[in-house]
Amino acid sequence: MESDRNKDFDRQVRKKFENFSEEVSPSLWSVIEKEIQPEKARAKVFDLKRYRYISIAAALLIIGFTVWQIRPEEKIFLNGQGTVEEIALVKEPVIKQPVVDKTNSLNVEKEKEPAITKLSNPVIETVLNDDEGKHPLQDSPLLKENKIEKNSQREPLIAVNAPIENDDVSLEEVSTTPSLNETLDVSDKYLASLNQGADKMDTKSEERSGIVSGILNFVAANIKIGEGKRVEFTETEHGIIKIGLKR
Amino acid sequence: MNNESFLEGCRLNDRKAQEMLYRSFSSKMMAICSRYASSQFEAEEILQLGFIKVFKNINQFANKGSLEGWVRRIMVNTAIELSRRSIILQDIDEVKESAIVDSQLFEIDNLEVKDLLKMIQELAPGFRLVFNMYAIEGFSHKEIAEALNISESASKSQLSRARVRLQEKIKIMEGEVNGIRS
Repeated sequence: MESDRNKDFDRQVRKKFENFSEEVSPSLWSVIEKEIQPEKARAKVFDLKRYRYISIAAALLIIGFTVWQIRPEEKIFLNGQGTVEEIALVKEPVIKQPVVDKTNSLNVEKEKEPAITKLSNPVIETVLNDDEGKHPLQDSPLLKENKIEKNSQREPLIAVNAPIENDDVSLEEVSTTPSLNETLDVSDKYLASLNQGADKMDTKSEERSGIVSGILNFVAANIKIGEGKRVEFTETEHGIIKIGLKR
Repeated sequence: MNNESFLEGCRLNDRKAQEMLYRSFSSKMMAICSRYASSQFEAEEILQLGFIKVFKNINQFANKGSLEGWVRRIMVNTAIELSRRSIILQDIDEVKESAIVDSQLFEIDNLEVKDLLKMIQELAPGFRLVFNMYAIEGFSHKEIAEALNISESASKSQLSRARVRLQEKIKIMEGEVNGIRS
C-alpha cells in the first residue's frame, strides 16, 4: 500500500498541473491540416509506395522497349571509319535500296563491268596491301575515276570472307569462284547504300539522343516521392542513363 | 461557438470547425504532452499525432462524457505509446517491495509549475512514464504493468525511484532559491 506521504506528494504534483497550459508553435496546425485532408484530395498525388511494383514494371518495360528500338544502330558505321571486317559482316539494311545515283561512280562502274574481270587484274594485290580502310570510301578520288582502284576498295572484303585454305589459290581460280562473286555483289550494294545513307543515319542519331531520357522523364513527371521530390532521368552523350531525385 | 457546434462540423470534416477544436484544446493538451516528453519538440510530435487521431476518430466519440476528457485520453494514450517505444525495457527493472523508499513530507506549494515540469522532463524515460501514469493520470500498477508489458513490481520500483529523484531535484532547487534569498 502506498504511504500517506507518497499519496500526498502525488496529489500536490497533480494539483500543480490541473490548470496548466503550454504555448504551442503556430505552425503546428498547418502540419496537422495537411495530414487530415480528405483522401480524395490526397489521392491526386501518385502514391509510389502503393503502386511501386506497377511503376517498376512499367519503367522496365519502357527501358527495354527503348533499348530494343535503339540497339540496331550500334552496328551501323555512320562515318565510314569502321573496319572492313565490320562493314562486311553487317547485314544489308532493311531500308530500300536507294535509286542508283549516277553521280556515284562506284555504282556506275559496278553495272558496267562484272566483278570477276576486275579480280583478274594483277594490280589488285598492290592496292590491297596499300589500303586497309584507312581512307573513307566515298572520298577516294581514285575510286571515281579508275576501276582498278575501285576494286581495291572491294578487295579487303574478299580477303575477310575468303576461307583460309584458299590463300594459295591463284587469282584466276579465285575469280571463278561463285561464292566470292556473291560476296562482292552484296558488299557493293551495301557500300552504295552505306555511302548514301550515312548522312541520314547521322541525322537520325541526333534526333534520337535524349529520347530515352525524355520518355523516362515523362513517366517520372507523374511519379512523386514524398516531400515534393520526383525521379529524374538524364542521358549522357554515351547513352548512359542516370537516375536521380529532384525537388 | 460551443463544443457541440464545432463537434458536428468536425464530423462533417469541416476545416474551420476542426481548427476551432484545435485552438480550444491545444494549449491544455500541450501541457499533458510536455509531461511525457523530454523536450518541446517531442511534446509537439505527441500533440500532432494525438490531434490527427482525434480528427480521424471523431465519429467514435459517443457524446457520453466531455469532449475535452475524450481528447485528453487520446493524448495520454498517444504519449504512452510513443514513450513506450523510446524506453529501453532493461531500464525498467524489478526491486523488492522492502527496497521501495517512502517519500519524505514535502510541500511544493511555492514551486513554480514550469520548474516542476522541467524536473519531470529531466527524469529518466522509464521513471517519467510510470510517474506520469500513476501519480498524475491515476493508473493502477496493474494497468501500468499491462500497458508497458512489465511486472507490477517493476512498475512500483520505477515509481518509487522517480519520486526520490524528483524530490532530490526539488530540494536542490529550494536550496538554491533559499541561498539566493539569504
